[in-house]
Amino acid sequence: MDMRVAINFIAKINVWRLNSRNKKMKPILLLRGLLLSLSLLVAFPSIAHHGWSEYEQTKLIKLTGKVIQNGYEHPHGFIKLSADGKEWVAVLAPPFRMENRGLLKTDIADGAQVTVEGYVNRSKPDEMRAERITVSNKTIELR
Amino acid sequence: MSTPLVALKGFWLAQAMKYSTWLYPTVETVHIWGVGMLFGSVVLMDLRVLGLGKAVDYSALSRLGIAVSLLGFSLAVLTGSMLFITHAGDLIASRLFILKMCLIFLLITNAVLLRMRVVINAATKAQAVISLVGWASVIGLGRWLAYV
Repeated sequence: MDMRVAINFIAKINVWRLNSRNKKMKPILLLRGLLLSLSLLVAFPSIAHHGWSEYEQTKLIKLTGKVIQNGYEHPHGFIKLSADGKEWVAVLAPPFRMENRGLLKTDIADGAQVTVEGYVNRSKPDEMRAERITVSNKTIELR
Repeated sequence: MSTPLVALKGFWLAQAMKYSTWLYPTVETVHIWGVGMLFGSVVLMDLRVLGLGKAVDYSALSRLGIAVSLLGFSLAVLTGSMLFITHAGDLIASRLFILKMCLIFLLITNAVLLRMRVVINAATKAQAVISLVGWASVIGLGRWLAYV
């Protein structure tokens, strides 16, 4: 929904209420409209923007290596892998999504050879958020 | 990581939160129920203090509002603790989390002082504003915490 539409809608309700009462605009009504509009203004960007801003999204990196630790767990799965001469943590997706898209627990078992593509965490240089993972000849989108 | 945090990681409930298919999403859902009940009733009571809805009897609204907000708060604390033990290490180290907890403590103190009062005056109105802004901020901090 367009935010201006929402705000206009609220303004129209207020005008309608005013007309139907045939009174001068009460300050409290104005306050109510303002509060509603303000809460929408605050709420909308946070709904549209789904976190993840911690990751450097302008540079996609690709890592291939062996899984040395794994977690098929809430709220997000992860794997630890040795690639590029160091140990990386790749954040995967919630277990439900991994399961739905066919990334099984056994696919990311320790010792599995995987390729992950994703973005590096700005404050943790050895953590990346994987956009997709390639394992046992299948590529699974995680976002 | 300190010893209690390591111990917490192995706690069966923390393990169940991570590995059970339905527990984590269910707990998240109940957390929102709690927050919704708490914030919804707090907003109604605070707006009444600030002069809206004068037709509604203040003490009757307060009785219902306090009951619903306490139930909501209890649900939120219970489920919040379950979410906490799943990420204890990260959360203890997070300034946002500490800020959220301090703010909740202050708001509870504010709520006890505010809801004990029977009359509405300038002081209670100021407390109602603190309550509104405060609880709204707690929700904001909670949302932020989930995505850092």
